Amino acid sequence: MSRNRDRLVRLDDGERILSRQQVEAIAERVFRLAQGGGETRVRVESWWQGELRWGRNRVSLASDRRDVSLSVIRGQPFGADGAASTNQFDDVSVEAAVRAAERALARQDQPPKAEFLPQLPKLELPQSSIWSDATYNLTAEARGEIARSLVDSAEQKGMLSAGYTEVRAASYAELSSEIRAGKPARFETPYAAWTHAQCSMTVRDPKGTGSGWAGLSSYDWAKIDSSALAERALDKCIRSRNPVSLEPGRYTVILEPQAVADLTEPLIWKLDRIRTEQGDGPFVLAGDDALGLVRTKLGLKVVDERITLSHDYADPALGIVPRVGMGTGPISWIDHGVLTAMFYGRTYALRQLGDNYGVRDPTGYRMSGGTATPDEMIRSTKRGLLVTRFSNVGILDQNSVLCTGLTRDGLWLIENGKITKPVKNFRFTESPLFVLNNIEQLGPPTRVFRPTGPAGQLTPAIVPAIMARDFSFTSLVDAV
Amino acid sequence: MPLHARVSKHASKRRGSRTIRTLSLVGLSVALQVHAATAQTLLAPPDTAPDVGKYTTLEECVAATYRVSEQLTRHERVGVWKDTLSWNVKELSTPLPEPLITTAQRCSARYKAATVPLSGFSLLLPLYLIANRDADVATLLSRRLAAIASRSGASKSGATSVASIDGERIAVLDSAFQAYMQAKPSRLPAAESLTTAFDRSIPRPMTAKPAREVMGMYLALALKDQTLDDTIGMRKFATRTIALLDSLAPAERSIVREQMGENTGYDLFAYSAQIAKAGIGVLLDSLRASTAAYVALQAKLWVDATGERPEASGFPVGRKAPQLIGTVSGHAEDGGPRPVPGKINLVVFIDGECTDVVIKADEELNDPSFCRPITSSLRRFAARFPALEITIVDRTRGYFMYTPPPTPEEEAAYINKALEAHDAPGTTVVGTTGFFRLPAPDRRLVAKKELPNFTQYSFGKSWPSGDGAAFLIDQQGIIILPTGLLTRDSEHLFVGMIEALQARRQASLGAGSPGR
Repeated sequence: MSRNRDRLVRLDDGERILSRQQVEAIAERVFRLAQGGGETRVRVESWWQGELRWGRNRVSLASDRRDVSLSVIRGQPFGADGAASTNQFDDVSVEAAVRAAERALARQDQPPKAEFLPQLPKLELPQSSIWSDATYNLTAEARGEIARSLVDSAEQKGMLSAGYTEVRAASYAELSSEIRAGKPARFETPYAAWTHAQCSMTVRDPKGTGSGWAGLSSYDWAKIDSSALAERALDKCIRSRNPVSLEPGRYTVILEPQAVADLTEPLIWKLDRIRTEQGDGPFVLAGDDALGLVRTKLGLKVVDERITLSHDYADPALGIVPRVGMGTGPISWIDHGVLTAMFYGRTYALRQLGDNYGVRDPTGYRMSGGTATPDEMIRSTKRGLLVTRFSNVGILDQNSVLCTGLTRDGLWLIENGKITKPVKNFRFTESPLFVLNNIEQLGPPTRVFRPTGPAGQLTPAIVPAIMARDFSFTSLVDAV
Repeated sequence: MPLHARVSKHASKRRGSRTIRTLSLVGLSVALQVHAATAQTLLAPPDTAPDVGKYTTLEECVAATYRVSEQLTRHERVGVWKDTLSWNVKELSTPLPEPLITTAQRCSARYKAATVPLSGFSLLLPLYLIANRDADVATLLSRRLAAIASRSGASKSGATSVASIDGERIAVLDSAFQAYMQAKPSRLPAAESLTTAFDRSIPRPMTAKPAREVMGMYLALALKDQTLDDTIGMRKFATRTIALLDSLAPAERSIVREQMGENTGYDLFAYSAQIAKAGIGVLLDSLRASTAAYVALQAKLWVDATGERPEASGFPVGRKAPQLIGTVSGHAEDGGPRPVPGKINLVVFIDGECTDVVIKADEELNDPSFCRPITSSLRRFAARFPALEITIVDRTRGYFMYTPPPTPEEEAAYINKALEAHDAPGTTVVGTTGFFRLPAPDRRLVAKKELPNFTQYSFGKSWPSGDGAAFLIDQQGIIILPTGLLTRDSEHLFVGMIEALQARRQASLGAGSPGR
């Protein structure tokens, strides 16, 4: 990884993102150009993205894009500031950005100088390895070949396919002149670079009676077996043709890992300590009138004891972009069913808990599992449904996290331990908390397709297949 | 609302929200949206001549005018430290900047008052006033009222029938009144004329809804005149307010009381009217005589206004000011009691906004729009009354910025330095808040409900003692004037009271007897 980034000189030489040395050099140039004292913060971002999209077995988009961004923030540490941005790094443009930031600062209400402010506690930046040369070096030609093979596999079976393949690399740094000078300031975000890759494919029967999907995301393209994905999507499509209608109701379900991740997504963002202490969400216990605060369910059992929801920078399978101000060690939000932590920022940690670090949100998590294979789960099911994935999952009730959404791309009826027939899609109305409290069996945790979170950040997840009872399907859906 | 007022309101949003809970004794809680006087500036005015030709809709025209106003106001905010200037009544009559008037005139030229669609009524009112098209405001208002009358009075011939005084008409009149009141320069004669006409058009006996509206207009006019030191106008409008209140049938008055809120809105409204009718001069005269006379007068006005016991007001006027406890620093570190016995004291409470340096998500040092007005007010008091004992009261919160939990002494030192950074005059008293920590896994730091000094000065929760609350205390330690928020607009009343107290002391020194 470092070999590639260290030899970057200029983006226009054909390289894709800025190297650490380039970012440092840009920051030094900006620091020198600043006039009038105060703090200068330099935020340098660069990204590259190669993508390929196809539909009805024909490529509709193939692109290779990149950009850089320099933001200059001038002001006082902890005080008002002015900012300006540019994506041109020549001397004239950089100086213009600095002057623009200083003009913006001059228009702000100025707080008093506060030289007495104490030095901040030191922060340790967690390290993680989320760089993949396989991702970074996947050329447009290679992406084209991959797409061709995926399309061919569907076309040979007389099916229609659509899909998307994307590889990305990015770098980010936010550097402070004050911290460089050993003075109090907020913090720096040292240079970090990362990669990301994703591939997903939907295969449809030309008559529109069956649909199969498979997808995976990872920082490392080498960990994505596109041929296996294509095979899986094709197989699901063929097996899901000509579905029958079932009555809505409560069914035992076997949720494949992708369906578990889709369903869990709304829940994990409720692990917000500050919002919970404001009285929002499922982890509110009760208001405490005597103390004038809201009690949370911290320390209480909230889901099945086989469930542990955790996060670790060092988990290579997760591949998490580090963030300043958050702890460096592993975190368990839910440990054997007990709510043990919720995420919060550094300010809250310092003020309310006397800690130096916040607890990170579940942008990247691992859910514990079991040993049951899909076949074992199916064999032990008298009557139930096998769910490939969910789509359009939305929250109906914030406090119980009651959600609704649709099954998609493969739903089958299981009778007496065997898959007997494909079933038309359902709308479900269910809470992930309910599901996680009605677990029958768990499969081994598996990396799933989870390319971006609510804010567009990378959100890797590793979750098991879950067999749960009494899952509520509320209506039939015509779409395949 | 005129555009310049909207700009000013936007800029002082946080102040505005606090102003709502300000319960100044003499009606100073009515915040005036004012602009700074033109003064020396650091920057040249920006180019404020937008090409209005490309703005084809009324909304775009208003937006263009707003942008010019914003540019000028922002420029003024940056170039002029207006909160270091004391209140000047001339600010209300200062013309708007020429670029703003020109923009409004050019942009609004295509909107003829006689023909423009009435859907643009609320946008056009302030725009016409900025453009100095006052006659067009009257024309537009007449058309708007006529449209209502033709609709609601279709089956009735009289334009002043009860049916015509409906909610829509009242809302339209209120919009016009507010536009006049907030216009710059002030349009008080037009506002008065509108109110009087409205009053006369309401059939007697008056019902609650129009009564409440017209009384509110009269009281607003009275308070505006109070701000302008127009005693005659103030008493005239206050008298009309009280007369209308008295004329209400018991059932209607009950409705008005219920609509305003019994314990705050209605009582305070009636009390403010009584104060305005009596006149500030009467209050100051009583204070010059003695604190006892002043307190008795305040109580009488309250009883006259509300018919309730004096204690029901919740105002701590006449109460003994509790002694402040905490770490004392600043100019008077002798450790003596505060408020200082035998001296005139001004005690100002600050809770978080000025010294809690990471109170907001963006982690700025503080919000100057709130802290700076208070500290600059205090600087003006200190300069004008060197003998005035100013005490700033704060409390520990268990943290300071990013530091690990500091000791109360360390935190008090940080708070004091933060106030020094604002050039706050006087002495600082930082009370030590009691804390406890919830057991793991929660571990939250929780402040005890009994907050040092803040609790004592809330007088059984009857008075707000949060950010910006101020108390003027006489030489005997008796509270003379409490306010929920010390603002630039309320300063002149504090000044009057301090001068009255000083005059009494000087007189008593001359006569050789205490003034109380």
